Amino acid sequence: MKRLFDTGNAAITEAAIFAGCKLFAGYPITPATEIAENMSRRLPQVGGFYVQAEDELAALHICIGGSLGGLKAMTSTSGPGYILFADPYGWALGSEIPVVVVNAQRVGPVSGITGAPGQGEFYLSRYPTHGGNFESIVLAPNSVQEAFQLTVEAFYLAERFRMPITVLADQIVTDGWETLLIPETEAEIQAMGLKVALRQINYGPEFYPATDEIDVPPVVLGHNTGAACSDWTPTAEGFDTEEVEWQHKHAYRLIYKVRNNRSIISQYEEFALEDEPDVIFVAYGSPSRVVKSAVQAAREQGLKVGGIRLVSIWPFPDEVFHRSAKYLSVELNYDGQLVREVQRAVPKGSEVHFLGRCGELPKVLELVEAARTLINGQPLKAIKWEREAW
Amino acid sequence: MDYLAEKFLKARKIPSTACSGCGLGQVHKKVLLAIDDLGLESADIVWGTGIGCAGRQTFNTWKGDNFAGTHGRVYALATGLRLALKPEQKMILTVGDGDAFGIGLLHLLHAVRRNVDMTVIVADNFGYQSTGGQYGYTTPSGAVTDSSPYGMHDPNWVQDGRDILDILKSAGAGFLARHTSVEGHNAVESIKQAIRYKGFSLVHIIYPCVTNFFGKALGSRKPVDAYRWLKARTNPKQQDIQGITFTTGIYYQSTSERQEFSEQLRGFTERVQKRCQS
Amino acid sequence: MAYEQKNNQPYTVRVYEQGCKECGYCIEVCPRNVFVQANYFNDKGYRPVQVKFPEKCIGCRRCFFACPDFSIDVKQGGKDSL
Repeated sequence: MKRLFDTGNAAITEAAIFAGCKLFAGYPITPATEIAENMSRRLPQVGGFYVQAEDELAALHICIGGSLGGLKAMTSTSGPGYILFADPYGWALGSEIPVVVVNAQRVGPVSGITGAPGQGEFYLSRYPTHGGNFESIVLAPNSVQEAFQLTVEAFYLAERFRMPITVLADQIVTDGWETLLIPETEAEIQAMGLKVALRQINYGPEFYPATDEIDVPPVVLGHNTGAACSDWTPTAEGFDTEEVEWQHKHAYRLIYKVRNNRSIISQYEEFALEDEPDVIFVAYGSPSRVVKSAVQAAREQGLKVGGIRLVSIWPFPDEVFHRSAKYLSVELNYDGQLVREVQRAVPKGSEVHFLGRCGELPKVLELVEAARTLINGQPLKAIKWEREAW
Repeated sequence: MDYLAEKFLKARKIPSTACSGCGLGQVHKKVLLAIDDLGLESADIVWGTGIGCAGRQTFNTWKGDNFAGTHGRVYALATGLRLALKPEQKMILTVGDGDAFGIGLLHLLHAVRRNVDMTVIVADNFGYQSTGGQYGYTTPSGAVTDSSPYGMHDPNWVQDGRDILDILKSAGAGFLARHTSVEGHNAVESIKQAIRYKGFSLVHIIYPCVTNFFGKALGSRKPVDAYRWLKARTNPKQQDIQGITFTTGIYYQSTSERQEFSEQLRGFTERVQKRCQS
Repeated sequence: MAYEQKNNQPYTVRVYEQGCKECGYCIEVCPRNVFVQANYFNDKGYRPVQVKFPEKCIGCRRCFFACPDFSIDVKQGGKDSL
């Protein structure tokens, strides 16, 4: 086992190398720039290629182009670049091309605050492109170690589902320094649960089956398979078509290959839920670490508080929210994004509340106080929203 | 299907759904003639296309491997793909004027700057014809289109002392040519040289859109009228022709070799690997 | 009506009627008036051109270059050359 003290950006880089990534095309952006820098150093060492793109549109297109030729590829960005991915992301979803996309979320909208954490792309990562008729897969690490493991997982899922996978991190995860363990032996790799899928080649003639099956090899160009992939609705052979029947089949595949294989994707963590707590915190990414501490602190004070931490956020794991309780969604934004999905997923009769911060994490004691307030049946104070004081 | 289509194209896409008299097939045929002359086969070429008439009608016609990029970004896709293909495999992209000189110009320029080995065939029908006929960046000045009902007033890339090929040349393109679809062997020869060129090459080929462009600009949807208009302005011998004219032939051919993108990157990677091992 | 191709003509011209879109380019460019328009329609609703005077063909292949629909072949020799 290699033991390092490094950033999430370094962890993501090493994970990509571990997973067999051979192409990175990116555009510098805080707080993901270090991934590009690290890849420019690491990729040539392992026979791969680093390309600095003219913009994020080109960055993801270059990655997809490489993947289309059989190279495992990754790009990384933050919110302002993630929105520019909309065009190529949709292309890769529709043509079913594996690629990994890292988004180190910062404060928005637009350029916002560059070096501070935010969680503004919860829904954008669900709908990273236009047009609908697809499901997305998004993984959200909350530590340097998990940034490593989920990036490896993203490469694995990208191959099996043949689609782009987003690793939705945030600035604290990518810029933060922590211990990073990189497995070296087969036993260490297995113990960490890491899986690597090799690129398969689809030899046709059916490139776009109208089924929900995974592990269908993707189109790989350059092998004279007669393959075709495009931004148009494909027939099974990849011909562009205007026929609604083919669109129906294509949409079925893009939606149900994910929905019907959710058990492979779904990951979450539960804190102290055994005794049907009164209040359940919900979070993903770096706020979930505050939540974990807050659950512990609240329990020490005798409050029946638990927590749910989402590791995979899309497809949304509705099944985790089967308990009736007072839920509190803790997020790094003020508009409330995750909270809306929680509202949708909880059983009837449950209350759902929201605690937002942006640019900084909430404090443990604030969460404990919020839990106490909810248990006492009082309304939550609009913390940090005191307009008179501004 | 003629012998060329029989040899190189997928039967399902031929005849295309292009309008009667659409000159795109003339462009397509010249590319196939060049490929045939060079003795290349389906395994030797990966064929990419853009969006619009030129992209849609040529997409997945090639018996080998095909891809169609999003509008204007196929050059970036091709840049990534180039790194994965064998160096001897050719990439041919058939795209439209809007794709190359409008929405995709940034990516096209960067593909030129990097000298990515690809042959871009810009099939130019004077604007956005698959959306009904709006002006583009090569629409002749003064032409009436759906979005220039009082005559094309927006400066284009090809008149008044501007030439898009000049910009591409300055950016570092190694082989550039311009032709019209009504030409014959001379155009095929240029395409052959473009395909043979190791690095970025582009052939700009003007072709008639009978239904939309000429329907409005000439007031006639008779294909032969469009054909005659283009023929009269096709100018391989640099004659003094009044009004808009298309000087055809090789526009620029570099005499010095510039290292190709993927070769350069492969070499770089090899050097770094060696250095790390030693 | 269909026109006969013979074996003693220097070139054989063939039109693939189902691919023809009646643009008239071949008629326009042919210096020897080999083609005429048919008086019937193909499956796509176009009146295809016909090779009425194959013996007049001089093998210049202008029609082949002009045809945008991959629907004309010109070969040296009589009808068996196709």
